[in-house]
Amino acid sequence: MPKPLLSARYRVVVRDREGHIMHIEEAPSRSFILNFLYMLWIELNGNTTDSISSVNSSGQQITETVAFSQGWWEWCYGSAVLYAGIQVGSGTSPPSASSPYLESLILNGTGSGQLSYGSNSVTSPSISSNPGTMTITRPFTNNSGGSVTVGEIGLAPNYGSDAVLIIHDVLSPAAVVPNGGSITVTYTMQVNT
Amino acid sequence: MVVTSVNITKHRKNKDLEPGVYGYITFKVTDHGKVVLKRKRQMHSMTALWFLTLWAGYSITKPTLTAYSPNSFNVNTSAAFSYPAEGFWIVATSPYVGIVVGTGQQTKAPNTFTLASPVTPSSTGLSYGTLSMPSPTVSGNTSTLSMFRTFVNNGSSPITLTEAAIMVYCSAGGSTTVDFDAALAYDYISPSITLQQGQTLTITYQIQVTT
Repeated sequence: MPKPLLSARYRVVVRDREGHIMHIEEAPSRSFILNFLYMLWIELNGNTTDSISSVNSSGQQITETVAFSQGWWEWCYGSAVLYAGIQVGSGTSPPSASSPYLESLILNGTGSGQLSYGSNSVTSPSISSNPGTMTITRPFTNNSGGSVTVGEIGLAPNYGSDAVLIIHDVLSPAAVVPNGGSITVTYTMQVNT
Repeated sequence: MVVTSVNITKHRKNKDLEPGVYGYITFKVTDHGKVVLKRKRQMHSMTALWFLTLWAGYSITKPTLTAYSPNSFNVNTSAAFSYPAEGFWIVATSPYVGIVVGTGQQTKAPNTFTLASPVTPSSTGLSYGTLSMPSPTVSGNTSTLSMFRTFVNNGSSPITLTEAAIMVYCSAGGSTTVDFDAALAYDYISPSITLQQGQTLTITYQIQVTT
């Protein structure tokens, strides 16, 4: 059976307000989406002026026109690009190849249905032997006053000041984060040579 | 601690392909327009470069890379390469980036960023055509990014090719660092392909994702 060139796994851990683990879900990431190839293509075509679908700092879906003389993708600049890195949403529909967004992004905040986005943290990569790996982790805290259901997660490097989704996964079952609790999402990227 | 549910999927549940990104390489050799060889095989070795660039903005321990000096096949192991690239791209007309070929072979690893023995482009040896890279296409649930390049043996001796790579020009992104060329993917050509005088080899890479 052929092995993928690139793959990813995710791990989701839900905790209650006392920090007790309530739920763990770990599985292979199923969906690198078209945006991954499109971003790679734009990156490789360094002098191309093109546009790409992304999410801005307000969580709005935008089509960003990019004009640059060199490629530039990064996970994030700490908290400077809020929705870069790992995103969470409440949608439950299967990802489609050409859909560049989570179905329903959960916004950062303490209002109803919102989660407070923590900082992304990245481990130093392991690349000298197979498999080569790198992980990125992000906590989200629920201070909304009620439970928040996370049905989808995604990985979105920043492109300039916006976030471009490249991986989209649907959780099964959806993760219910109680008020005062948290959900921590970890993606492990992997290459096999 | 009360864990109310654990759901860990370690293996695929059926005989479908393991989820992830797949790639294919097609080799086609023509002699005066006549196809004398065509072979398609799975691409095996995307390197770690793609994700190294993704965390370049982070202050974490960064690996030392063995890569080429820009626009050459000269290996430079300078410590200056300890800073990862913040971006990479291809200049389609440069023979040192894009699809490149070699006559050596080496153990593959996530940090294999050079060829074992690259073939230097030459008007009296192997010439490199311009790289073509159309925009990604979508068919059903599958999206594909393709690129291809032709190579012509202008010399009088056969050339046997045993390795191929997608090289990219990397910007280290800092005033104290050095730009470099490194492999985004490295694969064996196995069995090897021998190009006779006047023959043309076209190599096509296809990278695919399926949702």
